[in-house]
Amino acid sequence: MMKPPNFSVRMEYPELERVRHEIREFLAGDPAMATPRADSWSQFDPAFSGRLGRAGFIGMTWPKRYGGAERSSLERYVVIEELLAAGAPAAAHWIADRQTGPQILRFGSEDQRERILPAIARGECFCSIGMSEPDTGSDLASVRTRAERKGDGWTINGRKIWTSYAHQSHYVLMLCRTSENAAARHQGLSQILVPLDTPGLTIRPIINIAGTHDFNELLFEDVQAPADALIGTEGAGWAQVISELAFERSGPERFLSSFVALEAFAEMARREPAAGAAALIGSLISRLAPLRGMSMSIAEQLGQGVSPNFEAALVKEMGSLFEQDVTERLLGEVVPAADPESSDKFKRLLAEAALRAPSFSIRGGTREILRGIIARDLGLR
Amino acid sequence: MSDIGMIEDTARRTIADGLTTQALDASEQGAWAGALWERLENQGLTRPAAIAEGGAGEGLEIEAAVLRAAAGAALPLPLAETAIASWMLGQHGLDVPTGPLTVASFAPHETLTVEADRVSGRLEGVAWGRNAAAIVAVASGNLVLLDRESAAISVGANLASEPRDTLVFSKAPPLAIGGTADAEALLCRCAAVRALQLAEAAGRVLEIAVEYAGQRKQFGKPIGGFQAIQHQLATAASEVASARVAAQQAYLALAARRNIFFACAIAKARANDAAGAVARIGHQVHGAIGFTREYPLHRYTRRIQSWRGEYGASAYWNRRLGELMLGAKERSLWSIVVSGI
Ligand SMILES: Cc1cc2nc3c(=O)[nH]c(=O)nc-3n(C[C@H](O)[C@H](O)[C@H](O)COP(=O)(O)OP(=O)(O)OC[C@H]3O[C@@H](n4cnc5c(N)ncnc54)[C@H](O)[C@@H]3O)c2cc1C
Repeated sequence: MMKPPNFSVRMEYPELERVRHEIREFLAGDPAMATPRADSWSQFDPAFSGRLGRAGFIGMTWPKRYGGAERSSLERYVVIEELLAAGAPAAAHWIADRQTGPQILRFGSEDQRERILPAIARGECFCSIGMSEPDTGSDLASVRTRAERKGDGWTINGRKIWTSYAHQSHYVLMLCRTSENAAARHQGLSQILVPLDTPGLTIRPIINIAGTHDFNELLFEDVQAPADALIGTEGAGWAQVISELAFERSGPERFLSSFVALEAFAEMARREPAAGAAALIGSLISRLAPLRGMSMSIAEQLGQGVSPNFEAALVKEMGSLFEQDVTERLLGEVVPAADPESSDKFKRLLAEAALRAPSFSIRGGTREILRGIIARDLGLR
Repeated sequence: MSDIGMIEDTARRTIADGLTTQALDASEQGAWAGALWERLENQGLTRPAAIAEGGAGEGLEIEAAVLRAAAGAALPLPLAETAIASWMLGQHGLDVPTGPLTVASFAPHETLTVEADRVSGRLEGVAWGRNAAAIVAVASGNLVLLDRESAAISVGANLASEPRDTLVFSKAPPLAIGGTADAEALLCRCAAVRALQLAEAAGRVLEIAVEYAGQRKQFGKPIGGFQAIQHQLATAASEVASARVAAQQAYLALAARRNIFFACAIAKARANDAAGAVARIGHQVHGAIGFTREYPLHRYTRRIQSWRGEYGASAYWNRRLGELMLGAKERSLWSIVVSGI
């Protein structure tokens, strides 16, 4: 019989009230909050991330000797959900805080940790994910970009694509092929951390549907990286990447990307009552509340060193559908609809969320891939 | 295993031992599964609060464990209704009579009044009304315990052939009258229970469908090997998970005596929709066999389709939830999601 996922929720989290108060105070006084943004973890604002880092809200769970604050994974959860709910422009540090930093902490050498983590925690060092390639999307193990050991370091050749904020970040954590073994594709992969200003690395912008420059194509032509650019173990890249995924897939950014538009809708409905507004809000909130419980349960488990990948896939599957349905329902039921240029907060946020909504079920693993993972955990494959 | 886990396990085994296909079928024809009720009663499983007094955990936690087992087996007995009724009586300091009990609650049907210590009025859709020794309801703002014998009963049933009877009282002397009671609190309590039952029934549908998909072969392989089937079942799994969490959240709110309306409204709306989606997928995966009386899927899907409406369909709860949130003009939606209301 299939093993049910493990979600145990709590009613109260008294230990989290302090940190919630702290981050709300911080946001209330921050100039960036004059203009809340939808999909705010895709809104890049280095100055905001610097202020957030200096206030101690980046790398919160890491040891103090690496610039962290040794707070719990649930305390970090509270901070990031408050950032999203407020629409704070959190993209600059998001990947480094969520993913790259924890990978370095887990698999990196002492030297790598000391060199990189404190700068991330200060909100001064930003990272990109170098997984996708022109011919490698969902089938991640098919990556072809090669890193060869040459002399004292690595020589990298190949292409990465959809690399978010590579043009504004400091490092890209690459998944590269370091040895060829056609029979076992998942072997011979390694994670290599490359500074984005390395000679031989060309960054070409790709403009997204919203008209902004968020992601890029990266061309590597004999890019030289030092020996200690390798993170973790040579050949263990696949296992390392997989262990990233529970962090990547279970967080509140998987269901709150469009929440600010719903909040603005409620503000509007309170000013000008509209038929159906209550039902619309109720039907979305009754989906959000359990999702949030599930996500918090995962955050708690991650803090205990468990990797709840099945649970994370369930959250991302439901979460991306939810955040898309928020814009779907608002566009379908509310007149007048979205307007990116509007001075009206609701119309502007809905426009921002609606344009970006198609990406919600693609980035971080597509809906179909996630369903495949869930099916495997159900024992169907 | 935790105490709670052990209780759930005991309940599952007791039910499995006593619940044959014949017993299920007889029950659908209106027979009372008295022998099984007695076994459950002897094990103490009909009175979760009494187990709690023995120190095995919180009453509501024990109740949830027993009701999970019951809903997961489509048990045709008023275990849930008895649990709610005895909990309500306990809250009001009233004695809990022996035997099966039931509750009557859904605002539109409430017409009970008390006058000179006599109760009159009409209750519709009372679960297991004909079988219950006594009925808990709210009349003129007070909790009342009514004797089934004092009611004129016309029998009815839901889609799963579970008794849903109409009880008419005229100047009936109640077995007990408690203090003031909030009809809404009773409705929330009932909604939380149905939400839990819906989540478990949906969980069972998922289990049956996954098992079937692994066995049934077409085009030379198990149908579970087809991606279209896999993805439907993956969707069902996420629906089940969120319905279970929503029900858990409602029980936590009941135990904490805070946020009760908010959590119960969410739980019932979520469980209604999730279970509906899972029932549809469960049938699709089964093909024609799932459409038969012989195959057990219908025990769960017929209950799901009935329970979705009982104690409030999704439209009802979503609208009320939204009205409550919009009405709290000084608060953001977010602060309500985080801290409740
Ligand atoms: C906004 C955004 C930001 C991104 N940022 C980054 C980044 O910073 N770094 C990075 O490395 N990548 C990034 N990505 C890329 C992202 O990880 C990929 O888009 C994703 O993995 C899917 O790959 P693909 O786009 O090539 O689609 P494909 O894999 O080509 O998929 C196309 C369609 O086919 C379906 N499909 C594929 N395989 C199967 C299968 N086996 N069964 C059923 N259906 C299947 C998919 O589900 C999808 O519907 C970003 C993407 C977006 C949209």
